[in-house]
Amino acid sequence: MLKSYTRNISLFACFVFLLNNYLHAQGNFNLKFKNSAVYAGIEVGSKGVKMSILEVGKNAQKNGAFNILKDTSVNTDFISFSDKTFDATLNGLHSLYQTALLDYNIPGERIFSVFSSGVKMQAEKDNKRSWIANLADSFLVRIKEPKRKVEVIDAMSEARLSHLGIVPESRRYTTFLIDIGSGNTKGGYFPNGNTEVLKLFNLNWGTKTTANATEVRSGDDKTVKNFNKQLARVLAGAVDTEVIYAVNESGAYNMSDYIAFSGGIAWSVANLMFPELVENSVVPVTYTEVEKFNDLLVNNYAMLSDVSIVKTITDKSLDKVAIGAEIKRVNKVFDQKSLMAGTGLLLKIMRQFEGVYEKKQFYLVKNGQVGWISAYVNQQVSK
Amino acid sequence: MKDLKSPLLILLSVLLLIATGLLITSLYYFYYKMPVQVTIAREAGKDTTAMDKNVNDSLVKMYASTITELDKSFDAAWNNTDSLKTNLDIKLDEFHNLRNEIIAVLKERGANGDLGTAKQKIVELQQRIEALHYTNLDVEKENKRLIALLTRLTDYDNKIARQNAATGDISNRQSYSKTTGNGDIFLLNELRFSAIQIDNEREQETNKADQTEKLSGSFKIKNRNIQSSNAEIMIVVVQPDGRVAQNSTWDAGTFETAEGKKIYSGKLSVDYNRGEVKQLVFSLTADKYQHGDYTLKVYHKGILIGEIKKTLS
Repeated sequence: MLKSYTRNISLFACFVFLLNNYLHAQGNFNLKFKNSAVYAGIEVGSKGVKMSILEVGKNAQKNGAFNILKDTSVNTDFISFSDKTFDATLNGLHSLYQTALLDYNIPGERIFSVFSSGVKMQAEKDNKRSWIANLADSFLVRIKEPKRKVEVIDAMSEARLSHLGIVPESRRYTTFLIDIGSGNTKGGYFPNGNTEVLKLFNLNWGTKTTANATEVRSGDDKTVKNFNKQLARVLAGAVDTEVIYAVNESGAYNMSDYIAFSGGIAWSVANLMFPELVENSVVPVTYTEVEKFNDLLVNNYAMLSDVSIVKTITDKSLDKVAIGAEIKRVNKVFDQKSLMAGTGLLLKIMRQFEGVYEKKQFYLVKNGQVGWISAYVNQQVSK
Repeated sequence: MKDLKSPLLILLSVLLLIATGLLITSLYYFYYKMPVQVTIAREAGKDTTAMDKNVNDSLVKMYASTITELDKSFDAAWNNTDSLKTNLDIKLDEFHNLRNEIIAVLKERGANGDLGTAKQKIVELQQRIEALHYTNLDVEKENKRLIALLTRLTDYDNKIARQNAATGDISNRQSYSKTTGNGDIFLLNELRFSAIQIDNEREQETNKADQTEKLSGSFKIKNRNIQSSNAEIMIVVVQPDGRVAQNSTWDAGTFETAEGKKIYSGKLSVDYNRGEVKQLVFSLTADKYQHGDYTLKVYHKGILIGEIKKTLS
């Protein structure tokens, strides 16, 4: 009798222990998927250190079932390659690792740390490759895990991983992914029906570079009207020539059914155009819809404030507070002119795929920045 | 010799002058005095060629005025006779035949008997024009009645749509879809919605949320009036918590309805041929299923055409 009682107590204790461990590991996040796991990806980028806490569903590869739980960054400017920025980056890297481990209860084997392609390119350019190795070693010493791997990702791997992380399996070989960054636009697609080779796409224009070129043209007249006029000239000039060349050179028109845009401007436009889909990481869009949005942006910008947009929401099941907060965030990151420049560039690229007889389906990807980390995590987990 | 030639020339000139004078007088009488002669002749009851000619002329005038009048009626009738077009066409054919016959008769000006026939035919033509005029009135009346009926139907549809939006009554929605079925909205029937459990690669229906591995639906659409084209049917699956279930965010999106923008779970593209019955199926795989009512709503052009519930315990 006593033995049976002791056995039951032991089983119950084991159950409580295992349950506690499970809950601990999930870090009390509000999870979206069944049978999912929480991972942390820490990336040392050009501007600083960024950490993304991801929930990766069992169907992540099949239908892109990953969910960003947290996204945080520390600005350290590592690519200045000074002692000060080195220390700041090391401290940032260490503190984010500790946060994932201790605050979010993510076990060490589910925390991945990498150097982005931007850091690698700059280090090679400045002949500072040793700085990367030093930072990685210092980090491993500080966390007392000498066997941990801190990988350096090259541009091709990053683009490949982004595609794998963002685009679901069912559309993998029919989707051209284009990331519109601040300084450039890059992307690619898998032309051979396998993930070995990615056909790269590169354009020396991004949201910021387009906005800067327009500002230079605008001279002393800083009005939105003049900015719009000058922007049209910038887009019709060098941008047009480069976009046409890059798209033709990529051969993506004939090889792709879907054209997906990621990057800051895609995130902004998606949120402002489709606030109802605040929880969706990807939204479908047409050229005409973006064109109309651009008109609104130029002629009725006040309609894109958080208050105005929330007023248009009629679906009672939607979280208006969350929608309002996201719109506010967009308007904080991009002002009217930056949005105009980015949207103009977006339209210019979309136009190349807007055929008379064959129209492609366009998508705006909101979580592009963590796409490659999620693919990296998936890749590491499946190894 | 010279003396002999001069009197001859004078005589010849006088003769020429007299001849010219006679000719002018004849021509004057011929052109200006003739009607008087004809009138006199008619009054005297004499049948002459000139009289025949004059009767023919008056018939031509009568014919011309009849044609002008008919043209006016014809234009009015043509503008208003869609539904009675066949009858009108027959009447117009008859009119054209009659007109040709009259023209043929009038061309043969010399034959006396034909003038009577022409007169008779013109009277007949006038009767037909009168008949066409009445047909036109009927058409106008019918058009007015149809316009009033159409206005009443539109008002009724709008009223039902407003009621549906306010009450959420499914039966009303179905009847609405039927009334608008005459337009370019699909009629929907045989709507099915089930939860599927997959056991050893065999699909079985279940009512339990824990066993559900996918949601599956099917329905048939039809429309006799819609043009053959590509149509889009929006599928909205509302979960028990009120949120819209999605296969993948890549399949979802928003669409416009009378009540504002709505999120769809999926979109079905259909190549539709006029009048055909098309069966459509879809399935939705979520990561987890909730206990409670799942509602499937089917929309076409922003209008709800079908709705069904499935309860998972």
